[in-house]
Amino acid sequence: MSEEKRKRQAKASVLSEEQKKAHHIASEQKRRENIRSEFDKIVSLTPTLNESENRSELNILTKSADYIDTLKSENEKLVALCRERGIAIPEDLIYTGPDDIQDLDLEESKIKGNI
Amino acid sequence: MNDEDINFSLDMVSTDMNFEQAYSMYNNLQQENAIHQIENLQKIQNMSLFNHQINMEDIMKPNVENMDEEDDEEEEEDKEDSDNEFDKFFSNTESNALEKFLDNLANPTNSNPLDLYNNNYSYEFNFKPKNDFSAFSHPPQYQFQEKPEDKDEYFKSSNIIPQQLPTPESRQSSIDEEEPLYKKRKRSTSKPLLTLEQKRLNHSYSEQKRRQLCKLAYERCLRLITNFDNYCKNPPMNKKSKRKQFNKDGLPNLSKFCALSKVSNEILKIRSKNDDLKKLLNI
Repeated sequence: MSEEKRKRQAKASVLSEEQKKAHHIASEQKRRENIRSEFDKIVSLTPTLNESENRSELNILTKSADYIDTLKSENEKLVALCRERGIAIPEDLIYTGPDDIQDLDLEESKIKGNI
Repeated sequence: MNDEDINFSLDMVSTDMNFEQAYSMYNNLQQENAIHQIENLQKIQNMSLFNHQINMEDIMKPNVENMDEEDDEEEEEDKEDSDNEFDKFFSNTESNALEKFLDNLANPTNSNPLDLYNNNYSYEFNFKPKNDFSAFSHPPQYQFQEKPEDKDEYFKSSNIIPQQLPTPESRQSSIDEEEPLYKKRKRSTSKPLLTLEQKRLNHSYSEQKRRQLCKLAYERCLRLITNFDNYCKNPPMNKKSKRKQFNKDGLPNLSKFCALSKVSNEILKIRSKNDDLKKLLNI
């Protein structure tokens, strides 16, 4: 890995300043495109958000957070209802919060691998 | 006071005097006048501000005529000039407001910054005519000046003033986005002076507010998608890179893309759990 990295660095230094700049701009555009597509995904998942709001970061973040809260309380209610009716609940159906992050690098690469 | 000054004229030179005599007589008269003016200037410096402004005009006239004689005198005169330049540059209202503004900077109070202005309107009516008078009566005196280098000095001294005085404004124009709120309140004192500047400030203020709201919403999402308490207790190990565990706000240092992905993942995860629970309940 480290060797590969070094190779890449050596390669990069061969690139001209303009190529580096173009590369950097392209990477940044890609990053922004990824973020935008994630916003679109959240908009499609959240019922309180419609297409016209897909460029309002504040709306998306607020409403998606609200939606997660709604889902969490819905989960609690459903679990309570199951218990009331004496239905056995598989452990994995009870929401106990987000998964712990073991490794930030791993987390990033895992999510990028999903695309 | 002016009566004591005797100005040299050709009538004083009689035909039996030779050039040397006439010239020394001229020099003596000039010296006497110069000394007299220095004394006057010193007197004036001890006087109050109001008398000072009136007497200045009496003193200045002979002073200008003899300017090329006395260097020290020029210096003193420059000093007096700069005071007048100050008056000219700002109206009394403005300079009073400026003074109060500077006082306020030193000792911040919670009073409305506009008070600096409103309190001073009476002053404006009292003093402005006097001020305008001095502003108009001074510059023409320099038309009698003959030596160009003196003119240069006049312009130099007048150039210094605009650089010194507007410092509060220029400081205002170099706004840092992260400046605390109380500074912003002080900035609003410039409202009556600079509407364009104020517009710009208002705009940047709302933009900051918008960003702050966005940031708060993002932080809320971050807490929802990371087990924040656990995260703080056992920060993740990352061996590959030297990536920091926390960003500058003390929150998990996830990339924005990663955080947003986790938001949708979390929605899908809870939703599928809920759907399965509903199936169990036959809802």
